[in-house]
Amino acid sequence: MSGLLAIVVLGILILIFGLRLVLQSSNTSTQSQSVTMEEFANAREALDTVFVEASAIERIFSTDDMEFISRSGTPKVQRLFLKERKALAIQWLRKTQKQVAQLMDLHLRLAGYTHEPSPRFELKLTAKYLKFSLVSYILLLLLWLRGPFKAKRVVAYTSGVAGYFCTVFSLRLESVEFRR
Amino acid sequence: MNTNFIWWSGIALEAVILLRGKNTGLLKKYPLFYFYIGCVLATEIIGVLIYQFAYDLYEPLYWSTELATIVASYAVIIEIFRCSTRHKPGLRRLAQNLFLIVFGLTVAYAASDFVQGGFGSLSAAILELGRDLRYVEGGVLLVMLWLFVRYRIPLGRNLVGLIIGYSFWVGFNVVNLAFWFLPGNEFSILLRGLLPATYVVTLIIWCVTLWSAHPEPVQPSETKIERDYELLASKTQAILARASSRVARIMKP
Repeated sequence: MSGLLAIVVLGILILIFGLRLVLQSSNTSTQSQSVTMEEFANAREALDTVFVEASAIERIFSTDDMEFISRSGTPKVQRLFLKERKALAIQWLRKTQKQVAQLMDLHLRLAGYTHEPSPRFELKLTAKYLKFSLVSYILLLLLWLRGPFKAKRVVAYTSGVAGYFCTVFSLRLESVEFRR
Repeated sequence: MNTNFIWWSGIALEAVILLRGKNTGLLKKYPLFYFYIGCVLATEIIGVLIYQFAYDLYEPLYWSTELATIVASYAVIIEIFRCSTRHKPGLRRLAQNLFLIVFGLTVAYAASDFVQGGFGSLSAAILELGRDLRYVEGGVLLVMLWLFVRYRIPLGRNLVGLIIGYSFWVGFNVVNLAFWFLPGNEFSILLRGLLPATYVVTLIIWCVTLWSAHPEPVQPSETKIERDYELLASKTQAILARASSRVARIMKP
């Protein structure tokens, strides 16, 4: 029975990926296939902002400010503070997700030009990206439900993985060789 | 009546695909695909003739031609791979490694399944071998589709049509064959009834998408991108080196 299930899943996955390919082809027919100057510039800009804002991000999730407000502020001020921090945290997370996705997209397109891609490395990167996507969505849910101060460990993970992707991107750039 | 209609429609569509391939020049571009279509057309014409004039020979012939067309369909997968990775040497190498792994795994699974099968008759043995070959084909096709989607491989309209038709046919076949071997399953009877119709749908997809030759996606202009790229890459590396050291500093407890 498990064999049957595996084969049915295989068949269904083929059909799903086939459909996905149709959608992808209709979307990319209007876009340029190569990695453009503008995209490089955007990726660089995105990378810059991720790290330049790192200290500010630390501050968003830091409990120091919350403790200070709890001691001296009225309940109304506390609520306002929490609301603003929550909005900021969600905004930061969405931005990070978008930037990592952009880097991943660029990486995948550049990989096509790399003369010696490592299958092990590519699989590892895929697994890491899937894990990152999952954790970042869980974090998003946590932020919605519990606010920014109770999700600090997941935030540290998200930042760490975003940093990892940036390093990977850097390595990819080193190994890319356009066809000569 | 319906069976005959589907049969003749299939033959007519295959003939049209071959003729259009010759007229548009796609036959030279995708020779292995047209070889497959030619094989199927030939076996179907022979099948019709045998069915009409020597019915006793039809059953043994049917199973052997079925196996031959499944083997010939591997030509399509080779064609898709050859055309889609023409300008991607790195990806071609990566895909070859992945295919070898998937091929090895599925062949091992299919072989063990085949050996354990206990062949009651020649037709049952051929049917099982055909099923296992389809599973292998399905495994390789899935990896290929995953690579196309993941690496956003630019594909021309003709090639996309070829892949879509092929995926539809193989995907449906794999599910159908899985249920075929489940005795007393009513869903299997329904799927078996639908199989000839899905083949006609596949031929219609191929007929429409290969009706005329479409240009291949434009590859990046090498000289310009190479020059610009090297300049930008060196700048990006400098930014990343700076950024990485910042991350390391921030992440320290």
